[in-house]
Amino acid sequence: MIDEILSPESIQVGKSFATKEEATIAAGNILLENGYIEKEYIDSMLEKLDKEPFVTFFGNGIAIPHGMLNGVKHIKKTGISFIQIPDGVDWNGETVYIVVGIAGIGEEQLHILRTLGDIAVEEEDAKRLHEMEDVNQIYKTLNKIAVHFGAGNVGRGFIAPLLKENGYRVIFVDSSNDLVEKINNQKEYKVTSYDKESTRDNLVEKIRALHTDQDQPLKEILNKASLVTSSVGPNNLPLIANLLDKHIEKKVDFIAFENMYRASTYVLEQKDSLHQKIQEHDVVVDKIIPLQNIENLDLIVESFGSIVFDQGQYIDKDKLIELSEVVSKGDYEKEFTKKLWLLNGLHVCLAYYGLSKGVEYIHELYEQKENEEFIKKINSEYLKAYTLYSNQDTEEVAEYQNEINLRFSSKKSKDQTIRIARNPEIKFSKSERVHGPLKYLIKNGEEVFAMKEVLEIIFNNEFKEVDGFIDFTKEHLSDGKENFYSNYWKEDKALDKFSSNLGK
Amino acid sequence: MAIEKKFKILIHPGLHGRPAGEWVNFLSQFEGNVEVSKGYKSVNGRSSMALFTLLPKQFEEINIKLTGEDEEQFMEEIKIWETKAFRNEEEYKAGDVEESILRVFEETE
Repeated sequence: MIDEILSPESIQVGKSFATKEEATIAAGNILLENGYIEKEYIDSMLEKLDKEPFVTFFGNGIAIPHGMLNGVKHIKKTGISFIQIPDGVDWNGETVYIVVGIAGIGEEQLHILRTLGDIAVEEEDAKRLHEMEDVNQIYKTLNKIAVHFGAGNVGRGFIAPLLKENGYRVIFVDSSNDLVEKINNQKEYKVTSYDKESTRDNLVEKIRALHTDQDQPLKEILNKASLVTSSVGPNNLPLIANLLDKHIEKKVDFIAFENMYRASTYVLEQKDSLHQKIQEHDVVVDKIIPLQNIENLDLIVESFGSIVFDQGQYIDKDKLIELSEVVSKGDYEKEFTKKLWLLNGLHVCLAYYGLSKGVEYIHELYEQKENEEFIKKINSEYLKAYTLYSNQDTEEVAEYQNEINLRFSSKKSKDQTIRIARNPEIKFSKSERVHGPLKYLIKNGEEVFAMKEVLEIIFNNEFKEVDGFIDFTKEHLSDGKENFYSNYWKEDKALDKFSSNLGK
Repeated sequence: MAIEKKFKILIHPGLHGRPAGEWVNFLSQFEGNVEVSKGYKSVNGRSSMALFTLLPKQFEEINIKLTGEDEEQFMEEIKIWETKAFRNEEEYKAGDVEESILRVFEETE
């Protein structure tokens, strides 16, 4: 179903050859039998071996016989073959244990070389490949398929480009027929990232999508994948857990890119049997993607992006996703709280404050002088709360916070206050982005002017246009503040303190 | 001493098999350290395998850093380094067009 450059039929283990020419012919024959080339290409491979032998040695016990440039016309489609030779064969004076026959057209060959480089640049990794006996494992290592659940804004705008940069072929899975159809028709889309000064376009090519109901193809692709990821929203994760449990036969790495505490572990814990099927990696994800009003698949996103892996779960040699400007590892608990409070908390407080002032976009708040004081106070309250919680240096945290304010205030963001305010029943719940820091401040006798104002706002307004606000009011706010503190936040013991700080 | 410069890759489809091999040969004239980076990722420029992991495509920008002796002089050599390659996709796909000797890098700053 996807253009495979390598099929399990093109992998042979435990072979032996007397010369590099014999090995090259064998590698060429596999390509021929699997429909990647015409037989003339094999002659071209031998010519290359004769005329430019140094180019066919890759390094670390791996050879990459391929054709001359004028042999490209005998390639039907890009593909590779893989032969493992445990006793080795002489290759220009070096010993080669793996022969990868390459029929690559244009940029495709760069991708093949890059995948091989990623696998073999470390001698240790190359040796592991020399000794790998399981054809399926070799197949997964070389093919690098990532199945991503959720073809929405985060999936298309942040995760898929990241997976592509890491050499994965990306298959989306989504429950929207419309989205699946669009992706399969278009096969590519454009992501425009903006920062203060400029914008940059990035074309995400060669993508495909499956519908969650396509049982058989989904099963097939999930068992070929070397990585499974998601960005479907916390509410949909139990569904993903069911699908993974139903289809996966052999353990695969899994990352849930969700705005939720240890979302990957949460998926794992939905079913006992999933412990044998997925290896979980928890991450903290940060990227603002405003609501898009574009009909096609293209997206506009901020250029900032951050993914922090739990350092206790991140294994460098796995090379699932490489560390970079965007990807790092750290103390999960602190990183999660930092982002939840300083970014999401600040965001939602600003959004409700903005709604009460009739402001449509969050960046507009920063342009009006009368909001300055609120912005300053809410920032300092969050800063105080987080430094109390983490003991981290105030200046460091302030710098992080400053960066966030810059992102919020960007004119290009066009981020709607009603988007940020949606689902208040989650955002205002116990230990979440508002209650978590608020509790720290009250416990430590700190003042809470701005947060108090936000509470006043949600108690005194009917934001009908905000998703979930009417239900939230009906279920949690209608019985007054004291009931809210004790029933929703379970603060019965500290009720006096909450009431005196935030009002009854 | 060290010197670094940014270059755009001119040849099609990028630094693939042979040009990368030729590049490694070409570097044997220089004795110091060669570091090549694209974006945030940086690798040993003397290893074609490591170079491939950068996915160095045509028209993309890479950074070359030389550390050693005569590095300034060798940087000048890099600016004019030529190898057998294709200019564009049309030539490449034509199949019967001979490769030309082309300059590989163009300094961008």
